[in-house]
Amino acid sequence: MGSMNYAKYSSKRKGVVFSLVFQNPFDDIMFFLDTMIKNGVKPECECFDLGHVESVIPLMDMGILKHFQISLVMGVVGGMAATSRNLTCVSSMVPVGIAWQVIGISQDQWLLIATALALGGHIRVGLEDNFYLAPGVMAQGNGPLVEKAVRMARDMGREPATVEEARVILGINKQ
Amino acid sequence: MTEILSPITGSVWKIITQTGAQVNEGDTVVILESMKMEIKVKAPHNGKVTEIKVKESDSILEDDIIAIIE
Repeated sequence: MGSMNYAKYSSKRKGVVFSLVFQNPFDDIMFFLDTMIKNGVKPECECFDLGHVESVIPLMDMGILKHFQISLVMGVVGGMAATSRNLTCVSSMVPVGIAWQVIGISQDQWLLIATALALGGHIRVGLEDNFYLAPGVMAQGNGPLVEKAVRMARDMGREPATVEEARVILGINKQ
Repeated sequence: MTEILSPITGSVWKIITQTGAQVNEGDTVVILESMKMEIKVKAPHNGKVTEIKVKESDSILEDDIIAIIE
């Protein structure tokens, strides 16, 4: 939902090992939204910074963005740092009635999942975002990451949605 | 002999070259997937690929050896 520096810093190498400008001007966003709506695709708006969340407001006002979910992506250098305080702040900016989830990059994901569970948000885990179950303990696949996330949710009194419940939450019609 | 090290923790998405191939400086050797991005790992100089130490879909850590060129 916005342009940003997108980088990976290595404290071991004392250098940026990967860096690009992730360009997402409004014209491109509106083109993608138009194409998605025409093809019945539910938009997932990924927000890497506070301003990205605010960018949904004019799109909603124009009627281009109606039914969607927001993903708050945290822990990428150039975007929001993966802290509970940041997640508390940015999740409070999500428009009322819009479902949101947190996507934590790196093993800080677990801290963010605990925070999102407490705040009433949804969560995502997977090797795309994080390889570790705990410091130094690499997951052997997505399964163990999902098992840990489910355990955390239940420990906090929340139950994972069924497929049907998830369809209702996300406003997705059965094909 | 030069070891090409992974700059990042991630997974091996695609191996672009093969053992025995001649590569030029800047040629892509493998493409990694990490942080929701595809990251190209390039040959640091001209040479011959003598060994590729990873397979597609492997999980790798920062500084793991990806390939060796001579």
